[in-house]
Amino acid sequence: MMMSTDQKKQFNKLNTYFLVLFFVIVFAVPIYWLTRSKSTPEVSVIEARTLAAMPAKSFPNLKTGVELIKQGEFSEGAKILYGLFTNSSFIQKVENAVSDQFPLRMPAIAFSKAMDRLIINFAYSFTTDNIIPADVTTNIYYDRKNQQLIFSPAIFDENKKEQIDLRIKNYQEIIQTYPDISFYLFYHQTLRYSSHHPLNDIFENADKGQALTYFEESIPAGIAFEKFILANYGDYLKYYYRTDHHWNIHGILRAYDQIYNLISEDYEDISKKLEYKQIVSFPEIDYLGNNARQTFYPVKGDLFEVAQFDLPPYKLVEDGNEVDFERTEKYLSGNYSKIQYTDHYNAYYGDIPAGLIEYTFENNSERNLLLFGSSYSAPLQPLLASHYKQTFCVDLRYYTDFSLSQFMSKFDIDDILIIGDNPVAFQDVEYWFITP
Amino acid sequence: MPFSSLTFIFLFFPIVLFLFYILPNRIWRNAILATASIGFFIWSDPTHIHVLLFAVLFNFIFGKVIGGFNEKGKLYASKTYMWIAVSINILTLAFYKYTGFFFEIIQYFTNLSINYNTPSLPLGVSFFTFSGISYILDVYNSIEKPERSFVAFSAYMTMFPKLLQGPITRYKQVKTELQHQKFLPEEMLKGVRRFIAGLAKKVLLADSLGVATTKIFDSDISAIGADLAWFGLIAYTLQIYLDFSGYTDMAIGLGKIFGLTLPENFNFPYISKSISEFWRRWHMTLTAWFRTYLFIPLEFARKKSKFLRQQTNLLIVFLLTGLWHGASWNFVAWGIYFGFILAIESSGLGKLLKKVPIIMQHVYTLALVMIGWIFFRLTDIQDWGMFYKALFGFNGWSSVTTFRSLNIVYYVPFIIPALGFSFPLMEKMQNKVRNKGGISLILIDAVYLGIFILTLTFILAKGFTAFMYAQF
Repeated sequence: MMMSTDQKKQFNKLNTYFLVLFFVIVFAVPIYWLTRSKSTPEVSVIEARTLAAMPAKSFPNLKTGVELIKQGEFSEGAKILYGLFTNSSFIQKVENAVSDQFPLRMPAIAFSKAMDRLIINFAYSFTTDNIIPADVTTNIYYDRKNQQLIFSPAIFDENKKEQIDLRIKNYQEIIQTYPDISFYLFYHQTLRYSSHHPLNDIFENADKGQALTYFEESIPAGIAFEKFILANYGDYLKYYYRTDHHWNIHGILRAYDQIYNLISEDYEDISKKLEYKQIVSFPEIDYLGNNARQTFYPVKGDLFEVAQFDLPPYKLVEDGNEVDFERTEKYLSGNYSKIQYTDHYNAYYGDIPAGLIEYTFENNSERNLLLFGSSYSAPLQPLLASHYKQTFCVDLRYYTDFSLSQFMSKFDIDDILIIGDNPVAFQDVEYWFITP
Repeated sequence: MPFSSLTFIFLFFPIVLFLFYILPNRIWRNAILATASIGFFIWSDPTHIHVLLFAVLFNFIFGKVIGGFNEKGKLYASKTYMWIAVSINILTLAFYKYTGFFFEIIQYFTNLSINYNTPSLPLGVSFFTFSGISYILDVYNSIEKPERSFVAFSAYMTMFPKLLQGPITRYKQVKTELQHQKFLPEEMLKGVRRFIAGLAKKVLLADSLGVATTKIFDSDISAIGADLAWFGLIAYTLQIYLDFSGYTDMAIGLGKIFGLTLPENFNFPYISKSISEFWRRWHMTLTAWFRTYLFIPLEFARKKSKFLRQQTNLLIVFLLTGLWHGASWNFVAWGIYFGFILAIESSGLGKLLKKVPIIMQHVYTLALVMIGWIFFRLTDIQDWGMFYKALFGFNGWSSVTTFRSLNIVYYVPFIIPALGFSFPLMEKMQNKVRNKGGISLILIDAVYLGIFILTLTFILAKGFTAFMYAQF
């Protein structure tokens, strides 16, 4: 179609605006990076990590390489200079920083997740599914009826059986090596491994409790075993958070109750079971846990509640550093982060250190406990430790060079307790295999 | 550094663009283009920069030597050096790409156990060696005079828009623009739109469908139902086109932004009515390269040979086309498959096809192309039979639960826009709207900018995926 002169002028004007807008967007971002100066590292609350910053402008390796060549060390110098090209760490740093320092990064990601949800809802509108994926990058699903974010079912196959066999052998070896130690295993079932997971029919090879059954068939003699089983889907809604994979205060209290009964069978003069003074709730906190953080799902948060106990005086050392009780007191006095997506569970109960956690109680107990557990055991640690003189807590995912024999030669241990779900209790060999 | 990465769009691209256009003359601009392109290569594949630099240097030197012999009429010397240069290019490609395959073949046929280390593949080696060969042959055949400026030649060989995945460009296609650069706002505008369209095709559609196809093809193929198999095949058919054509759109768009006109590589291949037509619309620069430098010389040769026929020449060309795509038997089989079909079409089937209703011609072509994609996607030949069985319902017709358990339901809606962009529909609609003028023009450009921003949010959220053809 032929354009009139006016139409051509309008056309050219619009074209110019389009080009200018495009290049404004493209150039605005690097100008933003150049003009902002951030001396302190930024932390992303939602990702629980420090954001990557642009790498330093100096190139020490370049200077070193050139110096070596000037000194006649050609081979060494050339190796270092060549390494500048082949070592991709600088490239990776820049790419991480470009992504992390992108302007309006979190709103852009939130928008993208919202678009994903739109497409998911559209795609599933042709089905009658009540439980749909919460996003496309995780295996988290959204239960529309109960407004709950849940993981997909875990899988049980031959590979898992082999891993369980290895863990059983590991326990047998430990029990044989330390026959005087009382060995306790407390298993808490999460929805992923339960026969009540609402998506079990969809996932072939869903666990449905099979891993637990397999383990129980060959459970080694010498282990005192107790389990916290979900009687139905409602149990999961009752004892665990809706937006986080951790148990809530009701789950924690039930677990403490069961573990106390477990260890008191052998521990005859154990101190009296603790009763909580009150359950404190934080109505200002709309707790959006791990599952909500990962998916940005627009779900109503959980009520964050903690139980207050009267504990005997104790000292807490984490990774060699004595810890005061500031974090729990802060919460109880109303001094906590109001930032959305704050991980209140870890903030209150404690982040996992890479080394040893030691409790020393001023009580009449002469017994010491070695406790293996993950973040699930964090709320239980001070409660259980109150029944022992010294309690040592280890998370094997982070305390990677832990050796039981070295530990036992250093500390006097009476009881070993393992608290965990399937991977911790009997299934995972990558992290939870106890090095003898 | 893929074009669809934030580092490229917001760091590399604006810096290079700025430097390119503030410099006063073409020598400086070519120098910037070459230097930036080498930096682009180092960023993506630092350990093989010597391969690229060697290719640039020796093709430049040999081009000058061959051109010099041509001028002096020393045809024998010119031919000798041409063969040396072509051989060096081919040996470079063969060494990095086919060493492992070569030893695999020897072991298979001789049962000898050979210890060998397969060298890692330099990015884009299939593309820049072909660029080098085309330059050498064009100089030898006096189609081109050898480039005198090393800077201009480096810019041609290394230019980042086409360096890693084409389009395979003959020197004559960019020579004028390298020697006489002009700033053309209309071309820049077309380039920006083309780049945005390519970015969206790649990130929003191809990468999304790629997740679904990976889940399907990596699952237990012996157990998938027909619906899942068909969905996987259709999704892959669309994914591979959108991924590669999306990349090409970005490359051509970037070329235009820098004042270069790169050749088209795709012309809606899925509307073809025969396999012959398909290969005139799919990866056109590769087909053109093989036609110019292999098929046509073979056709000349068969006039003197009683063994060669057009059909054998087609088989040879497509065997090598398949091998070019990858050093494994499935690519060889894919190439031979199309070679056979083309041989049959050239033997009379092609004429017969034209008499059949057009819809049947489309169905025939699409069916054969999609069957070919199975060989392309499934590298383990043992999986082919299982996949065909799945397609035709031997494992049952429905995998509704598997759609859910693999979380593929989300990707089903992507088929519709993917189909829209794989056929001329979207382009026709855009032209129709554009011709209305007035507010329609604003709307179109607003849509482009909106798509650009939407794509950026997806890149931020998902990271980026390596281009499928990057393995070549």
